[in-house]
Amino acid sequence: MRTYLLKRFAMTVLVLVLVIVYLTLLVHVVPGDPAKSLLGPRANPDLIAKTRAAMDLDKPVLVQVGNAVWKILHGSFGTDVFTGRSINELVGSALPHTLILAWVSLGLAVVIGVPLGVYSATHPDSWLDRITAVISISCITIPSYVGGLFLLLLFAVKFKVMPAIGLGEEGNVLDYVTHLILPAVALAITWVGYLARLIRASLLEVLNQTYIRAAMAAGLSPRLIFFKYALKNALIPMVAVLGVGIGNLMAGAVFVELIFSRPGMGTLIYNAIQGRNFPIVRAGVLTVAFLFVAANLLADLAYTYLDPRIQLDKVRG
Amino acid sequence: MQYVARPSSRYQQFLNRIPILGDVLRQPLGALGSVIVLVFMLTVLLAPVLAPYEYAQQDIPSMLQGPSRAHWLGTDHLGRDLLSRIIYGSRIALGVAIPAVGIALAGGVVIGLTAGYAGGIVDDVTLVLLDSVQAFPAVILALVILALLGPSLVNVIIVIGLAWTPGYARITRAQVLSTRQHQYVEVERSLGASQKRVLFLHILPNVVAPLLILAAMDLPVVITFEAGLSFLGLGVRPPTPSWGVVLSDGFNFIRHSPWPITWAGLTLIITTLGFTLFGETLRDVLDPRLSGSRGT
Amino acid sequence: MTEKILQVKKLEVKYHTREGILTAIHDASFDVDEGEIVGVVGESGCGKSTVASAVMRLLPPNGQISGGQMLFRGKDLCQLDEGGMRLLRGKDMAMIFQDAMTSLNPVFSIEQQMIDAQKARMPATGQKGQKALRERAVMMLERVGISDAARQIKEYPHQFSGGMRQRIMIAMALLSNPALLVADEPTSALDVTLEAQILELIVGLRKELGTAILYITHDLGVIARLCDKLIVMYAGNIVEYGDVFGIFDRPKHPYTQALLRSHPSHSVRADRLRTIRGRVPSLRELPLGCKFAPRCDLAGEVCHGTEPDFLLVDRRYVLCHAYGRAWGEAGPTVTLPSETRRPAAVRTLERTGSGDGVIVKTVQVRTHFRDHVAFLGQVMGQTGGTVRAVDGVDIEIRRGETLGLVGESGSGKTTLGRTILRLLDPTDGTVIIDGQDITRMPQSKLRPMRARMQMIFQDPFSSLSPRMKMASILLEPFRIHGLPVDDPKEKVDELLATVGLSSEQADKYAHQLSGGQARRVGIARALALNPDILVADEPTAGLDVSVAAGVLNLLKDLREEFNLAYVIITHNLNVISFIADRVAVMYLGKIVELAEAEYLFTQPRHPYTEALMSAIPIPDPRLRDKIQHIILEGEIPSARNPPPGCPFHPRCRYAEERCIAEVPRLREENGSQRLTACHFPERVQFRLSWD
Repeated sequence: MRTYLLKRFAMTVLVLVLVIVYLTLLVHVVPGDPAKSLLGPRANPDLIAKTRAAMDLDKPVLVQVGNAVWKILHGSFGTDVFTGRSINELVGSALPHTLILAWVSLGLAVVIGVPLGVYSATHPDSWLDRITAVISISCITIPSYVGGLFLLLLFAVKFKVMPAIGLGEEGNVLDYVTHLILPAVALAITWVGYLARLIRASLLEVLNQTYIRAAMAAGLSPRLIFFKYALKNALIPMVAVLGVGIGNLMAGAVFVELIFSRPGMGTLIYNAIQGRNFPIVRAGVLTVAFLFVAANLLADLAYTYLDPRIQLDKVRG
Repeated sequence: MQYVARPSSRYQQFLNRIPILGDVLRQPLGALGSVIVLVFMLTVLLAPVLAPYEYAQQDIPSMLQGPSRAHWLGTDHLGRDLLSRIIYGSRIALGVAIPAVGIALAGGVVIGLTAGYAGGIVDDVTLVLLDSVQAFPAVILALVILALLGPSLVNVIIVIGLAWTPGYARITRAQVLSTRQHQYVEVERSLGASQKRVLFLHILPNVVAPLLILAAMDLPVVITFEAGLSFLGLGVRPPTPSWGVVLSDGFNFIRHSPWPITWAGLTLIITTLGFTLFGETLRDVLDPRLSGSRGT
Repeated sequence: MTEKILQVKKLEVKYHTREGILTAIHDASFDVDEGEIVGVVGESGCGKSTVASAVMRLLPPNGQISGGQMLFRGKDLCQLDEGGMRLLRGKDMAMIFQDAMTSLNPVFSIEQQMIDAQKARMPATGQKGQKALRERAVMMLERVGISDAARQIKEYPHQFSGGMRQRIMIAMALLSNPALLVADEPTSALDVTLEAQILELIVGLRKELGTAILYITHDLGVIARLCDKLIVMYAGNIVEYGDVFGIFDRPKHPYTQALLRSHPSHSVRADRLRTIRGRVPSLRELPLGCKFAPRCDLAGEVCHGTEPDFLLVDRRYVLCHAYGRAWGEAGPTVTLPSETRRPAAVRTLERTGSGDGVIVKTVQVRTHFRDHVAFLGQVMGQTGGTVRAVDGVDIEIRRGETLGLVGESGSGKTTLGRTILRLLDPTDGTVIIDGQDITRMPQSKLRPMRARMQMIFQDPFSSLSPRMKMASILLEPFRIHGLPVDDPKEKVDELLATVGLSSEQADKYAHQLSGGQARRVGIARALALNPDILVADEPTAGLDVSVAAGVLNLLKDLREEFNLAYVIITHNLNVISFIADRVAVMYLGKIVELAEAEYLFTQPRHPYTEALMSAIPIPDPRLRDKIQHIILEGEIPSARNPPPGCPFHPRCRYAEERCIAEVPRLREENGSQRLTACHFPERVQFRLSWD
């Protein structure tokens, strides 16, 4: 067990270092001077030289990579050349909004999707099961940006019952929540359908297992069999999927944040890309990648906790 | 199967004569998906015939109109006919999706076959590299690369291909490993077959079949992905009528006209739904675990 | 006066399927008395498991009890609602399943599951109640032979071996001391030695707790060892029902007779096994009249036309027209197969000096597997272990001879078989095929030779490519070796005919064949190029007795016809006794005994062989008390770190200091042809006793 965790952890660190290396090298793959494209073609050469120095571009490539890895592993993304603010601070102010959005969406998806799936699995081939199947597939096929635009159009533009943009008034929790509803729903739609189908499939499989029959033969009550013996087994694949899910939700957040003009990682990265501000792009992307990898690691750990078999079988280098 | 409608027996006979598609059409949802896919394909083929206007033909005075006899779906902010733009958009959707999935498929098969067949250190290194590419959510990866390469149709295809390659590589590798375990592969060796014969005649077909199903199911995902990138202004550039571009234009004028968003959004949803239903039914039909029982 | 625990009267079970309503059980009546073991036997698809599920009222959702009564201590189970049934289950009735691997919930500890099982009946209050439940669970585990139960109970199912899991299942089932235990093939997935352990346990528990047992199995040997009464099922009907001794002694129903005759047994050696033509009909196409009539040698007009009655003849129930009034004077002639002979009369191969005609020879062959350690693991200082699957084996096989390789799973017998054919590369030692050393021969040179050495693989289905029709599978050997076939269709027909299949099979895919047919195609493919050597891995695994008999007869015929050298790998000792001339017994990668089948079965010299022989379930209930049952303790150790000295010493009843210190050599005993690797072979006293 300990070797497994150690290995898994070492793997994660290795992957993250590789990610930093890619992001640092990426500037050199494309033609043109990153400092020039950041400052625009008419910037004066002095400023460009200074910026190049600030971005480490004047040093050999290997040193750049080494420096980047070193600094970032020590928790520093450097300073924004434009505003002079620490990039950490920029990321720090954007990140919580994205995290809240992603987690609330995920929560919504679980709260709606799991009961739907459980109902379908316990009433297979009933009318409601078939309707649920159609709804689930339809949900899966609605991209977050289309969902977001439709919600915006319907509730904010047409009926004007919901706020359209922004985070709401600062310090006003209720306002923050009302501003969160539409984006969170837009982001959750796909996952509601996905989880419903996943839970249905895995529950149906579990309910067919011999150990469920054995539990019935032992005279256990149907409630105990279903909610304890079957559901725990059926939730295991969901946990693995949620690890990937949280990453995808953060990616989907790019669209939703732009549509609803919410500050967050998506907006930060998008604006930085538009402004060719490469250090910020790198910091933002790295943060997202880090959270993505961390979510996967957490899901794996939860998996290990839920499924005692895993410690032995799933050791991979 | 009680819920299957019972069409005429001639229809049933017709279905019996088509090997795989017949089974897809037998399922109500599969039939619905097939119809949508068919309509989509016809639209792609016949776009110039079907579209009432040129997709870039501007008519500023009649901008942002709702549906009318002249413009069935209305017009956008430059007075361009929405129906025509959406019809031509289908060409962009498919024109990006097919080569992009093709690139991913080809790259994935090569990488996966190499890793799975070579094993050892090659396999280990490949896995770490795949892991590190997959550490980026696909949208983010695409955003960064497109930002550097600059938005264009070709770049979008390349980026999507790149973002999808690791997934295919992993599945290919897993398929190679599991197929190598199949006893009939060892049987071939015991009969005296060469490595090459085993690889090309027995392993490759088993690897490729599930990948093709997966590719079919990835088409709608890639279509929405491309539209999303174009919506962000990082994919296909205006005036090329990608559905994402129509959405993006509509978003800018959301307070003036709901129509561009409504139509482009619905088109995306229905297309995706069609391909997904078709792909899922196809997978169920082809899944060897479900097809036919042993003995009796 | 014994109490009747279960009385089943005219039970009928139906399945609702897409093809319509199928009758799975028809008109079944039997009793289970207190403390009695009633066996239910039959081939797959005959409805034995359905009977087990019906009694527990655990039929799948599409199954329905459509008629009859099941009186459990006088209470009709068919009339009970689900709640009432639940009160009985786990308290008065319990069930154990075939696959202990999947019948325990993987994500809960044994303790949790055993406590839940008890709580279902008596809600435990507070910590004290919880503790009592736990103590009872631990006690039960100890009773079924789980060592250190108080600690082991915290573990999860995957941490136990298959045999241990079956013990845990039994412990769980017996927690409440039920009056009736339904056992659905509980030992079918286990090795003989483990099966013997579990059977011993069941017999002991029955004696101790007085539990009545309804025991479902396909193995007549197990029935003979265990049961008091026997129910023989065919196509959803009980065809014969009565005292087990009576049925084995004088089977009345033609199906019972055929079943008993097709069972290979080392106590009665035969040149050929009786087979039953045709196969069990599917429920969809049940014949009219007697269900067995199409396969019955005695069947007359009446059998095909009307259903027979369940007749009481000599205190036994038989479902056969031949015992009814309509049959007339002459009853059915029941004779045991005339070709049956006693062991002494069996032909032994003429030996003409060693070395002559030797076609396969191995010298100190070793095949070890190293664990793969990924590079990250290597960086972190992990090193892989070594599995010594085959560890120094010398064998010689002559033309026309059959060598049997036996041993428990994990003994290395399959690895040896593959190494002989160079499907695996030996780590050390030499493999010589027909005078040529192939140990290090490059694959390119080896490939042409493969035509002469073939293998029949264990799983008949997975050894046939799912994407190819049988015709093309059978022509594959010719294509591989670039041999032109003049008339492919005729060649395929010829090959199919060799293994007794009709030419219509040529157009089928693997999933359209039955197990026996798939196995035969595998044999036909192996024979296509007229090999000299054939290695068969578990050639009858997973086949019903009558089908297995057909395959064994075929192998035997083909050997005579083509003068093949066989290596038959199996854990089924009855199969070996039927087909092998010499037998090598393997344990942890080494041969511990090598002798003529004759001597090995009657006078084993190695303690391991002795235990194996005594563990074989012999289909003769009269022998159950005559044979000394030597129960091996524990399970075969891992080949990663085999015990020092004699690998068998930890489980050996005769072991001494010397066995731990010194590895016994495989040596000849005073000039005889038999070899034994044991320090004290004279201590082995086991003899198969005859009446």
